[in-house]
Amino acid sequence: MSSSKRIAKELSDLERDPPTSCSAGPVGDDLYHWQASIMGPADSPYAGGVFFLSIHFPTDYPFKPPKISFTTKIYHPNINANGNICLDILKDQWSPALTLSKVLLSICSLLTDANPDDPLVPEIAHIYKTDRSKYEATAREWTKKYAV
Amino acid sequence: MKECPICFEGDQDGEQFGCLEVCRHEFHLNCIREWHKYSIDLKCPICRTESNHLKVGEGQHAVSVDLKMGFKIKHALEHAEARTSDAGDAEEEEEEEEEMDILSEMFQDGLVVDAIKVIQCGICGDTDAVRLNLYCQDCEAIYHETCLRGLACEVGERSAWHECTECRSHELLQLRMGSVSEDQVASYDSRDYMIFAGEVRDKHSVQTQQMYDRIRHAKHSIQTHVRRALDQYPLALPRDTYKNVNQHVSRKLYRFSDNNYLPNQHDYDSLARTAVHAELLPHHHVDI
Repeated sequence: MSSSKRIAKELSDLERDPPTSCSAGPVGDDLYHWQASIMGPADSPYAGGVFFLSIHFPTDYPFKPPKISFTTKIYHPNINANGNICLDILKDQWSPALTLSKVLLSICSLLTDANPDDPLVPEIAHIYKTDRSKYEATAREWTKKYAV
Repeated sequence: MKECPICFEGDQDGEQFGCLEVCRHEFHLNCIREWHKYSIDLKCPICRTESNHLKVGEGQHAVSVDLKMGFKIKHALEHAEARTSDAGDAEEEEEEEEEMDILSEMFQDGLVVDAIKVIQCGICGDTDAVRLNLYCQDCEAIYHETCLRGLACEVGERSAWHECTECRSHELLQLRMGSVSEDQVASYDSRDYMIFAGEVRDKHSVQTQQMYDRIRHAKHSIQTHVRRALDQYPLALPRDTYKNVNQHVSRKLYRFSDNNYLPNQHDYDSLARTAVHAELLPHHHVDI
């Protein structure tokens, strides 16, 4: 099975039926390197921001997950300073029946509902759990500073 | 139109579909089997229900593939890989380096013609000799009968298992070692293969190993004398000096006695002492 065929298929599905809150497509001619953008969910402190992500498909996609990282700075317990995302379906819970579109939707819901019990940045997770309004204020501030 | 949830293609290329026994989700046979080479469990990619069997074909021609069998093989291979890539401690590394030295010396001296070859199953890669019981007369591949039968089931040709997967030959010979006793196994000796240390081995590789073992023994024995000479040296030596002199003198003595350890012909202790002093004197001529 060819990975490029499956990636091309996902691209045409995305073009035919684009998701409402995100967009994605190849950077230049390289089908294995994409860029995506996610709109900050309205019910979150990221509202109003647009966040960019870089996506690399492995050559044995979809048997291995795509490598996804934020290129826009974001204040979130599960996303670190390098933009790495701690999300189970990008690691051991990956399934070849998942698509990039479904993964981006999962990242959107991670923005609304963080998972402070499995944090990538413990300091932010601690604030999230103990002083939610302080977390929300900082997240809003970062969104305004980096994502608008 | 039916579509495989892994590659998003239908059956236009004649790809065969199979369904997971418990949840009945359908995938291309090749796609779901490929996924099982990557996955850590046998859960369905769509609903994560676990299935141990994959049903292929319809009605009386249907075949149920035992997914656990392939999974066991995968785990065994991963285990073997993990073991060979395990990084040992410094001492082990040093020893390994030394063994590589011996091997490369043997290559240079023309003592080894071919690399060491262990006989293993052509399908699962296992070297467990007692169960390896089929031998292809044409290309010399060796198999477990269970692996050949399992593979035949997977490709839907249950009765066509008696065929070499390497060269398609039907000339498979029974090695007749199935569940025979230890001494029967030990007596197995054909033109090219023999039992050595509980494994069916290429005769050539056995000769290589025996020679290797002999040379290693000689080298280790000689080194014991050199270490003793170094330990008795009147001055404390830095670790690096100790190591270098040990290596250098051991090699010298080893060549001196022609790749053998001959304690009856040579007094290795005094040879080692003389050589160690000769090596170290230039460094310490002021002190001594």
